[in-house]
Amino acid sequence: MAIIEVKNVYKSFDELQVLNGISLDINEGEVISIIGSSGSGKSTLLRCLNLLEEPTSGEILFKGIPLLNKDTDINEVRTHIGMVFQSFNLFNNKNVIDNCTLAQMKVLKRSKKEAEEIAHKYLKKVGMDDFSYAKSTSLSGGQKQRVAIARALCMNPEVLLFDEPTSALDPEMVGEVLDVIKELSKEGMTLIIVTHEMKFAKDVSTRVLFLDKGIILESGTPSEVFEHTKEERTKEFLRRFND
Amino acid sequence: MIWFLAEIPDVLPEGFFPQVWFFFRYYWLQFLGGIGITLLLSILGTIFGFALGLGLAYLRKMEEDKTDSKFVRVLKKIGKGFAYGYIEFFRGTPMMVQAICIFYGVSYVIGRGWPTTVAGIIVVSLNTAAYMAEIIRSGINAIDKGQIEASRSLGMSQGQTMFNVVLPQAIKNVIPAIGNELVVNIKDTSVLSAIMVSDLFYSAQKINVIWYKQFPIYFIVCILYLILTISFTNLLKLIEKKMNVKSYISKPVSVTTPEGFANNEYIHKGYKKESQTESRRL
Repeated sequence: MAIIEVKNVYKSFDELQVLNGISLDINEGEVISIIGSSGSGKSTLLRCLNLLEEPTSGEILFKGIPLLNKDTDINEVRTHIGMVFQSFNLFNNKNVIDNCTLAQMKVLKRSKKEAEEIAHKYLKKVGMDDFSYAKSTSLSGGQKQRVAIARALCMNPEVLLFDEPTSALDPEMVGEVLDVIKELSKEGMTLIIVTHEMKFAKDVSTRVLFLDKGIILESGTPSEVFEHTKEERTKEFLRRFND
Repeated sequence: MIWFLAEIPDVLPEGFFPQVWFFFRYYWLQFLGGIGITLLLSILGTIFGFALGLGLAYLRKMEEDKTDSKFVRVLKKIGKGFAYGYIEFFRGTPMMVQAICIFYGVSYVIGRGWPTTVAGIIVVSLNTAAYMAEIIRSGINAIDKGQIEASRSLGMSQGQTMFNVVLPQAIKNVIPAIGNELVVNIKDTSVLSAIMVSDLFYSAQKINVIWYKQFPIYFIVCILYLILTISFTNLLKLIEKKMNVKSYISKPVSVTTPEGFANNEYIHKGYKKESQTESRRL
């Protein structure tokens, strides 16, 4: 069964129509890369999946639970869907470990001790355990992003959303973050990644979606989309990256 | 008779400075009492005002959430409207008028007088709350939305996000403005003499009724207010410095990346430059 089902979703910001009827089934363990030019709606689509943006119409189901239903506790659902942002968004008033334990204690009601154990586990995984007690503002971009990934993992989510996780990073720091994501993909976690890193998308994903003007123009395995491109618009987009 | 409680002579000396000294020499206890009340009013007023302002700012910043029931939605709307009206009212009318309305209003309702000092504290608190709410609100607005989204994406509710992520940062950022409110209160409580709160200004009025020598008496008051505000301004500066102090404790810094080297260098020199990536990010 699909873990996330997107059914005919439309989203507009006032006059601006961003998503024009998106339907998509995401199965457990899939690694989906969403590519497309700026303004094509890829980030909006991603943000609709945990309802940071509310679709204008359509339906989104997480494990069969309709997210747009008034009775659905969205906070509960969000604990199962982690998100990593382009600009890291660490809590500036907290150090690294507190960034990771806050939601565990407040939302999952874990004890401080348990939360810290889990935080250390995931900080180790992203190679940031040595920085546990550093202020989050003192870290470099790549380090911040790795902490942000650990923070999301601490909630034991079933799906992890990445919103251009490397776009705000210096080129030499992109690798360290992509390595962590690659590691996660190997473990069978469901990942949905909005990215401009075409090579990474090719390597890591099981399915690639090309979004254009708010619709999924092309979708398929990396080789289908990157090497046997059908749509002219996709070819044009990819050409710019190959030059 | 001991010096500081000497009996007050019947005749005033000639000349401005001898007169200033005369009033200071024989009425210092009254002035001191006035200072005490002024400080009590402004400090308590600022503290209570801050607490109330926090509540008002929270009410004003509440947003409708998808999961809210109809009842909660209505409550939030009422709360928002109340906070808006409250702030408009208290910022839009003079504190002196507020003091008179509240003091005599309550007296009218309960049918007798009540302690003016208590009334004074209440008026200052209510008035300060309106300004504090706006100060805190601006602090909240300055927190970048990304942190709020991150918090919500982890499943934290609007309230949890507010109290654990937004407010701690917002308050820290507006500490200078809060201190400024205290200094403003030290000066502005003088209008409470209108309801006979025996603050520093009112103590001078009482002495003036006896001697009718405005200039020397209010000259003393002027100097005393200045001493109060200057000392509090400096005290607050000290506190701000203490609170914003950056920790220079060496932290583990990766030396395998270029910025790791850079950071290490800064720590050895005893200062830490804002991370380079921070500026490049934009």
